[in-house]
Amino acid sequence: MKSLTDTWKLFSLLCLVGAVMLVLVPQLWIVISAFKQDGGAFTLQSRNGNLSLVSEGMTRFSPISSENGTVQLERPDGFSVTFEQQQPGITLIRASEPLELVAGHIGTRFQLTGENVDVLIEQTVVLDIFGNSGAPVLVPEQSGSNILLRHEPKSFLRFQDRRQHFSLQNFREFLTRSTYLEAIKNSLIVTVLSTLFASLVAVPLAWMVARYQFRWRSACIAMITMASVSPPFLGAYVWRMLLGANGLLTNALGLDWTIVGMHGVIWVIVWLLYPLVFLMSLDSFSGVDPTLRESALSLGASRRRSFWNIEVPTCLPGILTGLYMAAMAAFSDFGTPFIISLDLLILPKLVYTEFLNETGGNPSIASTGSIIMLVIATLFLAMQRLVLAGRSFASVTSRKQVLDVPSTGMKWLIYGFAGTVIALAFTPHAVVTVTSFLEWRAGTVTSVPTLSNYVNLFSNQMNSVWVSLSTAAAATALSLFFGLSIAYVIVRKRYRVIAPVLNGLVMTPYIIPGTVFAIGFILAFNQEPLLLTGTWFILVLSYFIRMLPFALKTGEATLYQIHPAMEDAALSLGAKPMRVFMGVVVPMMLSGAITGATLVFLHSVTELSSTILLYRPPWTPMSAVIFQNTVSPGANFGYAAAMAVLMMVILYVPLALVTRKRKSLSQ
Amino acid sequence: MTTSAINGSAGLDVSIEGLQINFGDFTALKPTELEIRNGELFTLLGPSGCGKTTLLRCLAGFTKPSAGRVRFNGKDVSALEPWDRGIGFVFQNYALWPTKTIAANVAYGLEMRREPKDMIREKVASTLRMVELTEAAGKYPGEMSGGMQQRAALARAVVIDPPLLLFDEPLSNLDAKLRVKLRRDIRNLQKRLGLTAVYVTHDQEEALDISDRIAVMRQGEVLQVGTPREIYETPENAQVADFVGKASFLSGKAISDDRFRLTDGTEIKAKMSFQTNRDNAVAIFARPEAIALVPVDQGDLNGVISEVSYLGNLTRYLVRIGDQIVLCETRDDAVLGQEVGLRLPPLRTFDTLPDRQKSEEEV
Amino acid sequence: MRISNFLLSTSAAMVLGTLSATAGTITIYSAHGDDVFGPIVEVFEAAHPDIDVEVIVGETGPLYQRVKAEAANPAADIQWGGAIQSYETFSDLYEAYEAPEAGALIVSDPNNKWFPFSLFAQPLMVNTDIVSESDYPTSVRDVLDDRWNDKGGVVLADPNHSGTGHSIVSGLASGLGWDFMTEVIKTVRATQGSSPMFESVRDGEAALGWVNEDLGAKWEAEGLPVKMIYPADGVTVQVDGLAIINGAPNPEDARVFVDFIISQKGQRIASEIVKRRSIRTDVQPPTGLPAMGELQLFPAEEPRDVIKAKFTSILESK
Repeated sequence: MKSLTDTWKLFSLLCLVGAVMLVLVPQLWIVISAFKQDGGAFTLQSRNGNLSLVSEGMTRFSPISSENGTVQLERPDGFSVTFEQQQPGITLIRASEPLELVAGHIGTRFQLTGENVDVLIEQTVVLDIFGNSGAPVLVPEQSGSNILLRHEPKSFLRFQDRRQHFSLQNFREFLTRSTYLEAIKNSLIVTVLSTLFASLVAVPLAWMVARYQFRWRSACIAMITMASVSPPFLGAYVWRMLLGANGLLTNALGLDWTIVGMHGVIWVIVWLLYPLVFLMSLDSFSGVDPTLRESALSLGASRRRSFWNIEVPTCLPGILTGLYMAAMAAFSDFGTPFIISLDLLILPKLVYTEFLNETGGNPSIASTGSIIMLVIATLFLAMQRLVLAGRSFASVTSRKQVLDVPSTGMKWLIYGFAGTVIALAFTPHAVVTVTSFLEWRAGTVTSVPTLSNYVNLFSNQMNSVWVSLSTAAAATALSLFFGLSIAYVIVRKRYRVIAPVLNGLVMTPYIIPGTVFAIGFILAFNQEPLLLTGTWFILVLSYFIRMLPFALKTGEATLYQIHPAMEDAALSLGAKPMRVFMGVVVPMMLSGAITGATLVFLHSVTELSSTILLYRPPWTPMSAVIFQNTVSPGANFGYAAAMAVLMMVILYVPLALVTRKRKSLSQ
Repeated sequence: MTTSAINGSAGLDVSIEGLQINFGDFTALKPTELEIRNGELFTLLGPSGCGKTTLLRCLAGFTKPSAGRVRFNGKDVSALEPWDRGIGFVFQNYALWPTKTIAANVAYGLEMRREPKDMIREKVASTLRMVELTEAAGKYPGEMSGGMQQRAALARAVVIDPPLLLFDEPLSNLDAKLRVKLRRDIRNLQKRLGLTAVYVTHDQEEALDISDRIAVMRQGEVLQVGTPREIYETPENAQVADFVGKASFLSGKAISDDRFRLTDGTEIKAKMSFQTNRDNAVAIFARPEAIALVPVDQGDLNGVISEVSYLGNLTRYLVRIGDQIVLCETRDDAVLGQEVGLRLPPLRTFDTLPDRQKSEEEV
Repeated sequence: MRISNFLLSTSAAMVLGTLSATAGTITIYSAHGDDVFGPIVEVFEAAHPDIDVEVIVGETGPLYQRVKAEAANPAADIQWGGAIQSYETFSDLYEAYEAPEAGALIVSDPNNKWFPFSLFAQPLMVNTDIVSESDYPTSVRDVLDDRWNDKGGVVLADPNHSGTGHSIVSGLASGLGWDFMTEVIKTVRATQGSSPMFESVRDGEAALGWVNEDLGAKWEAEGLPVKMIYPADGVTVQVDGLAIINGAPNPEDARVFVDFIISQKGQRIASEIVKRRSIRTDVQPPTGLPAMGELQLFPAEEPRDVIKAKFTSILESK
């Protein structure tokens, strides 16, 4: 079918260009470094007038000979190098090609170049803390095509060829080393189990709320949405405080266990994620055409059969989208395992620590890990697509949902279920609220009541409230506009190449760890003419790009439930495609849009991992303030707790408005 | 601009010339010729997947032809976008916008034409009156029954005075009684407004009741075009005969102008209208209600009653003739197992038997 | 009032695109929390009323990477916190400065890039709730005992991810040998960072681990269930530092700040209030910490990459 509208195609192309600029270009460094490998390295130890090879930390090189203070090494490409210690502290460096000393700063390191190598040689000597014997000796001299080096007789010399080559070695290493395989395995277990448990909690609850009229129904929706407002790290922090080996509840109940470990990671992530699945499922269940259900019931299907045969399949796009978003969030969550897993190896933590590492880390491996995460995420996406493919889920929702009155048993089931879920989800919030009124000392809470946390907060940090709200609001507006439009392109227009590529690009930031994403942003926007680092704009841009998937996915799920005939009707009445979209489609997407906007806003305000690298005073958002007061072991968590409480209070106001709006929509 | 295709009168002529529609490798509509006359209610009838909806959507401009063209009053509109065609479309699922009131739904088309507000208000009111929905103007679609929604959808489609009104199985989501009433309403409205209508349905009874002319379609092809009577009484091939109304077929071979030999060797002597070339004829066809039961040997052939169902106004018999079964609906009496004679009406012959497997579930 | 201020500044920023740091303000990326930098910055600002200090707190690792990513257009003047070996690793990012008082320091960078801020030993720390006094370790060799197994075990920060971990592993390996260290690495739970190591002992998730003594002393003073033990057979020692970022927007004031940190005045505050051992010989160690002379000290020796590779290969052969 020929495209009806060039306006949409043009718009899609513009979005594609934007996505390339904002997603692909900044993150290109990840892709590049994953496929690159440097020329190899090794370390020699000089001691007692002898030179010996240290077997660990050697890459690409292998020793040929090592005797009498002379060590010769070779690389698979034929390059070889010989270190010959002529007398203690004087070593001749020879290579299979002429080496040339690079002029410049020489302190503990110097550089050599050759035809095939860019070498950095670094000397490490034992730090003489109390002797202060002056600078260690390290003097290289060009000696023909060789280098004569004077160095400390007792030292380590590390040879590193920093020239980059294209290589698949990083992937080979990632997929064979036990550490990395273990991390992949653990990540998959955590993702699958936490998504499964979150859906076991959220889907039935969403169904009950969508079907039945009961007291506190809208309060229940509001509470669950509120529960999803969690200041960063809060859940993990509090659960550990309560149920750790020495936790408040563990001690109170005399338990001999700890939440620290994989089970704790899953537990905490479940409570982080279920609101997401709940909200998306609720939108879907509420959108089911009641006639479908009624006709199934009238045909003699039991309630249960009608649920499994009619409602679940019809709601599948919404539920699956929720599950997919939850799975991706679980898959890329780094904060929770960071706090609650201790020594558990897991991909996002691994990528984070290899990238952002004070010991230099291993950026190539981190990049490789990121790409492997992307591949796995793409597989998840493909699975979701596969389940949805070729099935038309549209059900026209022109008939109003009539809420059933639950039987007494069902009513108590709902109260019990919803009550438990809300109580568990709110535990962190409640605990942090209580502790914000207590004194904290050296990173632990005391039982001394105080208001000083708040006094401190209100006198110092009010500016951050405005920074958080304004950046989040701007990001929400942008996400909403582009999210709904791109969802429309993906679901309705289905341009052959543009739509899937756009979809993939927009979803990518969702699974890149926030910190890694932020580094890319800094690299891309730290120079004229796009000098945005440290400004209000870079926060907005980062929130927008990182939260756009929420708007996109909720928009998609809603669109799947809007029958295309609704648009055809408007087209035949003389409305052009853009008018149809704005005047007819957008109003129908409103409930989904509100969900999407809520998620974008809440996640923007609570976003931390990219914020901490991107913010610069005076644009300090609340999440950064919380982080500053949580991060170091001696931090004043009381202050962070007070800010977290303030953040929750501030978020609940717009949330209440949204809930009221949703209520009025459903009436 | 929007009604550029109209010339004075309320309706228009539609010419479909060599129209073909492909979706990738799949041919949804084989090259098709059709003439739809100004003011007539023309039905596209066929089982699902026969291409009728594809053809209808092409008339609306939602689907662009792969080959051939569509003319309105002689003017080629093949490339015209749907919003420039000024055509009314009524959808199977009503497609009312749940976020707008009924009045706002109906007013939408007029607003798109930037009609003055007063005029819009009047026109909406009068159109709603016409479909008896004056009371419901302020309601939302979700608050109304299916029948009311479809009337609202009809009002929304006709309010812009379209010269051509397209219906895509508009009644299939409604219960049987309402369907009958509403289809008469649709026909009356169409005649009153004098516009041209193309109506898609898979329900042959509905098609016979409502149409001026019918095109029977199957697997992307138009098999026969004619008035309901022509379609029912003089089907041009076995598929049409089988799809429209009930049919009795016997297979065998024609041996002369009035003799037909069944596959088991029985010869029938009856009057035949050789629609197919006699040499190719392999099937004879009659409507079951035209077959009479008579005592043995007094009819054109004999058979044994193998099933009886009493329907009130008549009784349905399955009569076994050799290894074949004939359906017969009559007021004559017979009992299970009785040997009877069958008196046949003038028979039509076809060069194929109907492809029953595919059509059974649809009929 | 606040809103209008905010709007004003927002629109100002929109016009300017970016606000470059004005003279008189220095921006510091700090791995130390407010408990460490707060008192020192306060005194510095009082002594230099013309200089405003803005501190952005972050974890050590991300801060290095942030400085690296911003290298084309640095936003901060100073990076503060983290082992001097880490500054060595990233030495390209920093500017050399010959501080007048460098001679008074017990350790200094031959390249004048980093400056020491404080010095601390890394004793063992037990959780006193889960380990009874009779079971306290007395030597590093006690780490290998089975008695920790059912109490959460022993934690050690992976030197691949932590400067603290590097100091400990490297120091102990040089002092007690790799054969012993191999046994240790096979016994411990490796944490990806130093904070998890400290906190897991504090919270009772593990029975035993190593700790930076200034933090351990603070926790002991607060009455938390921890006890530091300086093993007789060896204690590692680490120096943490600060450096001026290459291309800093305000290098003059940054140098003033560095001079202050290594001055006797600055070091006294570090010792007396922040409880950090001074890197000057003319400043008394904080009360409550043993004198360095009483300890068997092992500083880090082997290069980072060697330590990292050895640790990983032992861990993977477990």
